[in-house]
Amino acid sequence: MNDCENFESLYIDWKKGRLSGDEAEMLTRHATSCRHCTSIGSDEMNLSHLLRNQALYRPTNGFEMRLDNSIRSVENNGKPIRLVKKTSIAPRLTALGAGLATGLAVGIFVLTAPMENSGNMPISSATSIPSHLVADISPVIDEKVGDSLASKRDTAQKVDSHYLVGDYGKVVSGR
Amino acid sequence: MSTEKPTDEQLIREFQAGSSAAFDEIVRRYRNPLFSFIYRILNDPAFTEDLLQETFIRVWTNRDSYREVARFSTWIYTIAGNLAKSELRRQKIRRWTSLGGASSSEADERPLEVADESSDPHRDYERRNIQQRVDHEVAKLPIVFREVIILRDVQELSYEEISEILKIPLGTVKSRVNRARLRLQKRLKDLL
Repeated sequence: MNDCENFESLYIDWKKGRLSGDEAEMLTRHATSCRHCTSIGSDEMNLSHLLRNQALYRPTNGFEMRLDNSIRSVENNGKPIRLVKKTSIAPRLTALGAGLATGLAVGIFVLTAPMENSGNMPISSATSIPSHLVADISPVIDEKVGDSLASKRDTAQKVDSHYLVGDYGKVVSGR
Repeated sequence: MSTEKPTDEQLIREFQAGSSAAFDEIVRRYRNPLFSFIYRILNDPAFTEDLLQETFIRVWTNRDSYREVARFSTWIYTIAGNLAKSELRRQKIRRWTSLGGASSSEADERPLEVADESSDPHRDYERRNIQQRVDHEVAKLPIVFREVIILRDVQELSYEEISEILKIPLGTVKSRVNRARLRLQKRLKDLL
C-alpha cells in the first residue's frame, strides 16, 4: 500500500488515538503534506460517523424463549425449531436438470431426424397416405390447384422479369 | 468485591464449566450486534433471526471446541458470518432455480425493530430514513466489500479481527475497506 492508501485505512484509528507512536507520527506527517488526504479525511470521518451511528437492529420479542426451546429441541431430537421453513434446493435443481435434459433430447431429435430419413428429404404427411388414395385425388389437385399454381408461377415470372430488366427503381418509387 | 463486568472469554469459560447463566449473558451481549450484522448481509429479517438462533445453537453445542487462542467475538462472528454467507449462496441458487427472482421469505416486509429508539418520534423518523438509505447503499455493495465495511465501520472490529474472521490477509481487509468506503462516499455524498 502507498502512503495515501495507508492513510485512508488508518485514518479512523489515528483520530481515535489507537495507533502506535510511529504510526501516528507517520500519518500526521502525511496529513500535513498531502492535500488529497486532508480533503478525503473529512469525508471519511463523516462516513464512518454515519455508519457507526446506524442503530442496532434487534430480533423480535421472545427471541430468548424461542432460542431456549430450540436448544431443548436440539438436545432432545437433534433438530432446532426453525422460524423460516427451509426448502431444499435439490428438488428444484433436479427439476431444472430434467427440464434441460428433455430440451436437449428434443433438440437433438429435431436436428437428427431429417438425416435419418434417407436422402435428406423433408418428412411429409403425404408419405403416410396410401398410394391408391393419392392416385384418386391427384387429378383433382392437378385440375383445381394446378391451374392456380400455374397462374401464380406466370405472375412471378412477370415480376421477376420486371426486376431483371432494371425497372427496380421505378417499382420502389411507386410504393 | 469486584463489580467489573466479566469479559466474553470469562463468560465462555464459565459456560464451558456448566453455567447456563453465562450463556444467557453471552446471548444478551451479542443478540443485537449479531442480528444487525447478519441482517446487513442478508437483508431478510426472518432468515436473519433464524441464523441468529442457529449461531447461538452452534455456540451451545460446540462450546467445548472454543479455545482461548482467539477472542470470543472473533469466534462468534466467524460462525455468524459463515452461516450468513452460506444462506446468501443458497438464496442465489433458489432465485436462479425459481426463475422469478422473488424472495424466498414471506416475512420480508415486516418492519425491523430498532434496539435503541429514543423518545423523540421526529428524530427517530429522520434517523430511520437515513438508516434505510444507508442500509440500501450498503446492501448494494458486492459481498466482499459489504462484509468488511459492516465489520469495520458498523460493528467497529479491528482490522486484525476482521482478517481472522474472514480468513483473508490484513492488507486485503484494508484495501477492501478503502474501496468500500470510496463507493459509499460517492453514493451517500448528500448525507456526508
